[in-house]
Amino acid sequence: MSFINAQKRELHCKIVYYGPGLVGKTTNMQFIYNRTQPELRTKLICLATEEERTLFFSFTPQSLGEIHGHRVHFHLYTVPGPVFYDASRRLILKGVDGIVFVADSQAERFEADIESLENLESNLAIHGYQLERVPLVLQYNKRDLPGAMPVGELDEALNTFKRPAFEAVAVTGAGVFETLKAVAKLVVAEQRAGA
Amino acid sequence: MTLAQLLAGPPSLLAWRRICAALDDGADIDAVDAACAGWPDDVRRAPGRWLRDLLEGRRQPKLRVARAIDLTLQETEVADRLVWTDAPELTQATIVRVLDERLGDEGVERLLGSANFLKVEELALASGITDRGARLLAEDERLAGLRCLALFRNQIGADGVAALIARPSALRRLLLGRNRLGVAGARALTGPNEVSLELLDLDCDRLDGEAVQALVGPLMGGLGTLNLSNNPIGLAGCAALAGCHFSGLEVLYLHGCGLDDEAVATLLRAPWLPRLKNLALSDNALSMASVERLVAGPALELDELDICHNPGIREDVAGPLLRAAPQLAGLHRLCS
Repeated sequence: MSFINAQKRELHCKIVYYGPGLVGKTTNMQFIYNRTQPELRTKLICLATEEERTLFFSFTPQSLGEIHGHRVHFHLYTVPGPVFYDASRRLILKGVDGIVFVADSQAERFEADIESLENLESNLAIHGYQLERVPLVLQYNKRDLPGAMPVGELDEALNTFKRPAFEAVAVTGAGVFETLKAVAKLVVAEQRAGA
Repeated sequence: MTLAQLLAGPPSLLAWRRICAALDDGADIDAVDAACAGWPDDVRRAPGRWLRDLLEGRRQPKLRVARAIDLTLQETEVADRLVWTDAPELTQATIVRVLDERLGDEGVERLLGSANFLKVEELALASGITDRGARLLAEDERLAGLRCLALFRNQIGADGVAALIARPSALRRLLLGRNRLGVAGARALTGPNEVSLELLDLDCDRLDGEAVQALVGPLMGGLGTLNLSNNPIGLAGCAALAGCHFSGLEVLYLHGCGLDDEAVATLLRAPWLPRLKNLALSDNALSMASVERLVAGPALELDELDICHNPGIREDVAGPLLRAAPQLAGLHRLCS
């Protein structure tokens, strides 16, 4: 679903941070934003429009080079804060090129993780997409908390398709860029394959 | 884990996910249906792949075991996007949540005209429903048993609201966010009604201070959760809320409500404040003065507080200050 600006020779790809409420999606985005050179990114914008409330910014990674002569721009999106309507999370999937599923490692949030993943998979399926074919990376966040479940258990329940998965403590930045690099790599590979 | 073990174990979404996979692999539908009879309906969700079959005109008998359908149709081209309303496999559904950008009153009519949904307890429909659709819903006897009605992202105004609220019903949770309520809609909500709500969501409904003043009344008194986010309620709205006789309000969302420090100071004088557990004041125009009031407010014993996206609040200072306040020692989640 990427967008090509032929005139400027730019390829725009949308990456969505998806997951249950208060899992750390916004924290991921803010950490990436703060550590990205200002000249390579747009402002971090919180849109509370008639449509939905969305947090996003764009950046142009220097390290990626070009795809068939087009410079790659990534647009990072998430639904910040508590979401009153689950609809917000679904709508943000429109035109997505890659997904970071952020899971909460705490045992008491395990059902919320499953619910969110189920919701993601269902919504993709209704539109004819299969989760196993979408560029997807998992992040097990809040690894520093005492109630964190073993990674093996999270993997068994959430990572059915054996996609790249990373442990993270988003508030400190641990695992944040590793996750982003992994999904960017998958998105670029998909674009190269489809180009 | 075997299917038998899953069915004998405690209900969970993970177990249900695996049971659905077992059904895809040929497990007996009737046996699973019988074994899951005691499972909560919200766990028994129809997987998207099964609903996709339905939308593409294929029968999907496995849907018989589902009690909850959750459908998002966005930029989707299918021959009949309302085919789910008539699917006999969904006769037993009690939870129906549909977000279809082209649903409209036509979708409501089709839903009410079908033989399904006789047992629906929770209904969420979006988008494009007008006052006419709201009236049709209100007039349908089958929906008298609804406990939760969510009609967000529609075009419902005062007339539709009046119809929905006028009839005696089992309704406890009403979500009308992102409609066209305004002051007239707020007045309609507090008109003659026999509804006792525990949750009211009016996010982004064009409500100003006058509208909140109109809202305050018996309908609001029993609320446990109130969401007024993305409405320009300002100081007048906060004053109205502070004067409301909430008997058990625990969750209050005021994200993006055009609030300044004076408005928050007014809110923090509310007598019902000690019962509040979750307060969202994000995306307003608050400064550190509001943080200091929150810290000094002895009546406040919150579990969750969201004050992020306030340009005058310094995250690095606010967080430690709030966490150090003795009355906020129980704060589980803080977004600053």
